[in-house]
Amino acid sequence: MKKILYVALAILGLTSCLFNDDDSDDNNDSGTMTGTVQLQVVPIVNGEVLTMNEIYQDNFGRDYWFSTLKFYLSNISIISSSGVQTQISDIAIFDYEPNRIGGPIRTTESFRVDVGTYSAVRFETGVSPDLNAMDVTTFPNGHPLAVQNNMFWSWNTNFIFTKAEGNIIADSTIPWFVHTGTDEVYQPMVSLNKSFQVNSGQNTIVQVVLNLDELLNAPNQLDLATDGQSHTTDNLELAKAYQENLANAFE
Amino acid sequence: MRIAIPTLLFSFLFLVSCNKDEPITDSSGETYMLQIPQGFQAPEIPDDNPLTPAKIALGKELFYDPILSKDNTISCGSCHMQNHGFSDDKALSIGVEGKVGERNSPTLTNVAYKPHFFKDGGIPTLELQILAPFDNELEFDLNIVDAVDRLKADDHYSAEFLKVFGTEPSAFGLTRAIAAFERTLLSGNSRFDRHFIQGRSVLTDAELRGYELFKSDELQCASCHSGIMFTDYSYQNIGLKENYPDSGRARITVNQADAGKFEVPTLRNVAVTSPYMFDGSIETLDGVIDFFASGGTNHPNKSELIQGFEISDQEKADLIAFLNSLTDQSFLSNQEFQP
Repeated sequence: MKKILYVALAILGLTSCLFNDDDSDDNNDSGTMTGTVQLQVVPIVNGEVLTMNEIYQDNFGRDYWFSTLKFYLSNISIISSSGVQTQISDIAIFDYEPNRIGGPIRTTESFRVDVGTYSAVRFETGVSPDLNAMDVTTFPNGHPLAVQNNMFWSWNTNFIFTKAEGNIIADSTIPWFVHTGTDEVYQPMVSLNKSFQVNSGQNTIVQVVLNLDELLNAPNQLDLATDGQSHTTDNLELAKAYQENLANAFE
Repeated sequence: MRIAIPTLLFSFLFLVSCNKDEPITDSSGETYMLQIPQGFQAPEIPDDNPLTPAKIALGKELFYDPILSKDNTISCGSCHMQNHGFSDDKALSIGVEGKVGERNSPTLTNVAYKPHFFKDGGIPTLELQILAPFDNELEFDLNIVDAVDRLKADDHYSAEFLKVFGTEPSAFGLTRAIAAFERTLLSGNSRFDRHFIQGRSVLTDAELRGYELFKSDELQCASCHSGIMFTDYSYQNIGLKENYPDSGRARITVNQADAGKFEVPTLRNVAVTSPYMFDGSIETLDGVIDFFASGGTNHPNKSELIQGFEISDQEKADLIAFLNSLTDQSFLSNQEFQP
C-alpha cells in the first residue's frame, strides 16, 4: 500500500499535477498572471515513504529508525524554460516530526509565481549566513525561523539547519542525533531538473524526493551506531558529512 | 496507519509569509536615563530595545519570577543574587529538580558593557543570552514557547506586555525586558572608584600597595584584568586544569588551540562573587592568588602570561585588600535592583 502511495506521489511530481485553485487573485503586483507552486519534499527509505519510528535496515543490516526529521532550505529558486532564475523564497522549513513543540508539521511550502513553463528547482541546504546571523526572537510566529519551530541553539545563537534523530540497534539500542548548523556546514546550490507548468490561478505541486538511503551513505557512509551523535561543534566531521550527504540526497 | 500519517501530512498545505515583521519595541513613549557611574562611558543600547521605566520594571519582575522554570522553582535571580554581585555563592548553580549546572554563575555587574556572553563567548547579545537557561535542562528546562504561553495565561503579564510592547507576551518581549533590567545593573562606586575617579583619597596604604602589585610586571594581573571594567574580555587558558572537562572557547570555534580558554571576568565586586574560576573550583581570593603564584598546569594552550611568581604574606594581604576595594556596597544594596 505504501508503495502504491509512493508511486502515486512520484507520478504526481513527474507530471506536475495541477489542482484548481479557488483563489481568484491570480495577478501579482505588477499585473503579471500568477499561479501557486507547492514544493513538496517526500522522504523515502528503501523505496518507501518514510514513517517516523518505523524500523528500517541500514547498510550494515542493523535496525534503525527516525523519530525526528526537520531541515531548512534556503534561497529556493525556479528556472524557466528560457533559463531565467527566479527566487521564490529565502527560507523554508520542512518538518516531519510527529510530536514536537511548536507550529504545524510542514512537508510542503507554497509560493506564488508567474505563469510559465519551468525546467528546474534550485535551493541551498541550511540557513544562509545572512539569516543565520539574525535574532530568532525577531521572527513572528509562523515564520520558518520563529522560535516556535525550536530550530535554534541558545548557547551559540545560530540556527539549527537540520535535526535528524532516532535510535539504532547494535549491541544495544543507541540513540543517534545529528543537529547541524553554523555557516561552516552551509551547503551551496542543489539543482534538480523538474519540468512543470504554472497556469494562472492554479496550483502546481513540484515534488522533490529526499532519498534517506543516500543521506546515510553518499558520498559519506555514516555509521550511526559508532559515530551518530553531533551538535556540530562537538562533532564537526559528522555534521559536515551529514550536511554534504543531505545536499546530495535530493532527487 | 503507516500510510495514513504521511498521506495526511502531504495533504496539508501551509501558506506562510516569509517576510520578517519589524517587532514593536516599545509603546510607552517614556525614556529611562541610565545612571552612568562617573568615569564610565554610556553603554550601547540596541536600537530594538530602548530603555523605558515600564520595560525595566517588567524585566525586573521577570528576572525574579520562577514562573519561567519548568517546576516554578528557579528564576534568574536564583543564581544571580544581588548580595553576591549578581552571581551565585555555589561553585555550580542548582537548576530545576536540584540538577547541578556545568559552569560557575557569572556576575551581572556592568553586564551592559559586555561584548559577548557565556564564558565561551558564544552569544553576541544580552537579549539572546536571556534564551540560554530556558532550553538548558540543568537550568530552567522549559521551552521558550511554553514559557511565553505561561505568561500569556497570566492576566498581569499579559497586561504588562501590552503596556510595554503593545503585544501579547512573546519571546521578543521577554528577552528585551529582562535585558533592559540587566542593563541597569551598573556598578562604579567602589572605594577604588571614589579614590581614583571621584578624587576622594579613601584607599588605605595596604590597598594602594596591593594596586601597585596588581599592575606590576611580575604579577601581570592587569595585562588581562585591564581598563575600567578590570577585564579586556579576552579568552585565556590560565592552566587551571591538565585536562579540561569543558572545552571552553573551543566549543564555539572548534579550534583545539582554544580548548580550556574562558572569558576573563571583570574584577568589580570580585570579593563577593566567590567561588572562582569557570567551575567554581577555588573558594577564596587567597586560593586564587596561590593558584596564579604556582603558575598553573602545563596545558599546551596556557597563556604565556601565567608564569608564576613569588609573593609574601604581606603582599598577598595587600593584594586582597586592593581586590576588596573593588566592592561597591551601594550596588549590592541598591533597592531598585531588589524584587
